[in-house]
Amino acid sequence: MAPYEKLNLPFRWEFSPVRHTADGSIRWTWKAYTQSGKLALECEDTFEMLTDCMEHARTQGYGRS
Amino acid sequence: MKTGSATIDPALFQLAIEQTKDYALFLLDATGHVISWNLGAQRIKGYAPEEIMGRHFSVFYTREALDRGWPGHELRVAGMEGRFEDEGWRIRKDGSRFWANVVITALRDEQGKLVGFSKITRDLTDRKLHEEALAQSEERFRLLVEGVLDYAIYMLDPDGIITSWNAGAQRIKGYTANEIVGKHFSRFFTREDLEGGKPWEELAIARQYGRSEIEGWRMKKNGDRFWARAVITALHDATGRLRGFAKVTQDLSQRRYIQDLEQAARNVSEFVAVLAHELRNPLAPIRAAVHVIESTPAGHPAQDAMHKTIARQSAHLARIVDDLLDISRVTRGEFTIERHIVDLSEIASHAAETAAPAIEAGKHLLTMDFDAQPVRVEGDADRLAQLIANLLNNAARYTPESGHIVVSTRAEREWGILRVRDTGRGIDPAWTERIFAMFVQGRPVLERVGSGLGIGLALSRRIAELHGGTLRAYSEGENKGSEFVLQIPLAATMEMTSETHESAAATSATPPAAPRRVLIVDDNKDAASTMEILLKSLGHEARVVHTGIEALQVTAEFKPDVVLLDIGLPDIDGYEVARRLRASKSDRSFRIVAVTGWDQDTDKRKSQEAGFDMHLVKPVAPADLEKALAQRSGATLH
Repeated sequence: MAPYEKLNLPFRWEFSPVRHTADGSIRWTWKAYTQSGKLALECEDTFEMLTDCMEHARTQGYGRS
Repeated sequence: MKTGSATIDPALFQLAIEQTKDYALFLLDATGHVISWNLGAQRIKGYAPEEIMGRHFSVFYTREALDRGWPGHELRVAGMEGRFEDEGWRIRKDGSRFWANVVITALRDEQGKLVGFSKITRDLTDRKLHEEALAQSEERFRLLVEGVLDYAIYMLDPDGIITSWNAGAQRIKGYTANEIVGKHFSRFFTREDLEGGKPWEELAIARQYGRSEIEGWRMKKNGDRFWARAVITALHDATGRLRGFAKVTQDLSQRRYIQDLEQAARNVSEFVAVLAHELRNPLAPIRAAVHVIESTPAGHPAQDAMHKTIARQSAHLARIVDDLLDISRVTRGEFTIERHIVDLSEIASHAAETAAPAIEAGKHLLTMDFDAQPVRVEGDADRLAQLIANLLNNAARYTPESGHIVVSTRAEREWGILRVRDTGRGIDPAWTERIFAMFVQGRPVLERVGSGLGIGLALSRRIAELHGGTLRAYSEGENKGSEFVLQIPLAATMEMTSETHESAAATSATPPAAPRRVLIVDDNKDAASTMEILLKSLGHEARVVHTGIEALQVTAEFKPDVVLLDIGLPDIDGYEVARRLRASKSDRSFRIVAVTGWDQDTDKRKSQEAGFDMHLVKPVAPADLEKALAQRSGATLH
């Protein structure tokens, strides 16, 4: 018998460097994948610092089990 | 004369006796006078027949033997028992001595009446001298061995049972001969060596190759260890049968101690060089940033970036100092952890932020793959974050640019597991254990992590152990990436504490302090004025003094809410200033906060005893300062 509650597996959060198209500098963005590898969430912004990028991801659920 | 079936001519027999040269063969009458003399007697004793015939045989004896009445004793014994045999010194005609083997046989007639004695004497002087020389040599050697104090020299039987013991053995090992002879020599080995079968291995090598030589730890009677160099030599008899072993042991503890000291001195020297280098690294950009700020007009866009640089690099400097303090705690056995129920995944996400600058610098892709459920362990959130950040910094620094770092957490059976995997330079499999040693020289890969002092992994493993867990490294080899696995017991089903990440929460949770009157006491003028600017920028009123006496004087007139007091002052130290301030103000109407570079527990205890309310360590983070100013008077010492 299948469980009533939907399985709620955590995302795999990925923080990756991207080159800024305007000045060529490296900026940071994040994506969240399901455990099966399907893209679930994607940040539309980029950040100068990885810390800022992580902070933004945190608002979307990163770091909360 | 007749023997068996042959008949011997008495004349011939007489001639044979007379001509025998190797033995003195002669007859005595019943009272001991010489009545026959052969060539052997003449050769050995030096008398011609005409010189000795009729004389009493006592002329052959030494003065001492004569005084004891020995010639008469010999004849009496021979008369009663039929035969007497003796060895002793005898005198030749020329007065010289020779060592004689003497057999005297009583001669009786058919009625049994004693008619005389036959005497056969052999000259055994050469043999005697040889024996004496050998005995003397053995005695000298025995005394030498027994008297040697610098070496334990003793014998073992073929099974390893101790059969002899010298003074050096007693001095080095502590056992007397009575205590140890008859016991097995394995008692000198450490428990680890015994478990490894070392004593029997040493004997087997000596048995097979004739000798075994080894250096290692050995045990004294009192349980102390000493560093020994031991040589075991197999001893065989003339037929080649193993008779036992000779064992010589030297106590090299002193040499080992000196070697260890020399190694420690080399390590410290290298460590200081690395430390200087690591301190210079963040200082250079700070100085450059200060220069840029000074040389650009206020509000210039470059200044913002320079401020960020200074903040980043000074945080790095603070981490170096923290690591140094941790090392000091580890070496003194005072490195401890607090215990709360915490989520390993949440800590990993905070640690990733700490390591973000290194990951950022390497432009690495970072994947965080956490368990579906909180991975609850009982531990110290800050220490675990320090450990994980070390692993991440490590991965970032030793992975070529644009690599991939994966952090994962899982609850597996009774363990919380955290893995940090990278696509970096990897580790030679031979080094996967040694990289966890502190200050080990010559580590080819991954030698400097954390602050670059070569202590990060050693500290990290210590943290894991304090949590009842392990930290291990795996790699398929150089340039094949590496994986560090932290394994900690899962917590029993307890509620997670709200202090899971206390320091992070506290930083943002502390409300801004109401404006305070703050007296800054610091002999370092730059530090004092920087603190003054910082306090004023936060809306507080601040005054600066540079000596303890000034502090006492100004306090009375300035009436501060808080005194930020340095400990090392040029006139009276901060402890004394605090004591005097407390003595004059018993109502504790102001707070005294120690601001010092000393962070040991003993320093904190001393400042508490002197009357300080709080102990802050330089460099003081603005958040900690806010916290110190926000608390009411009489708060608990941190």
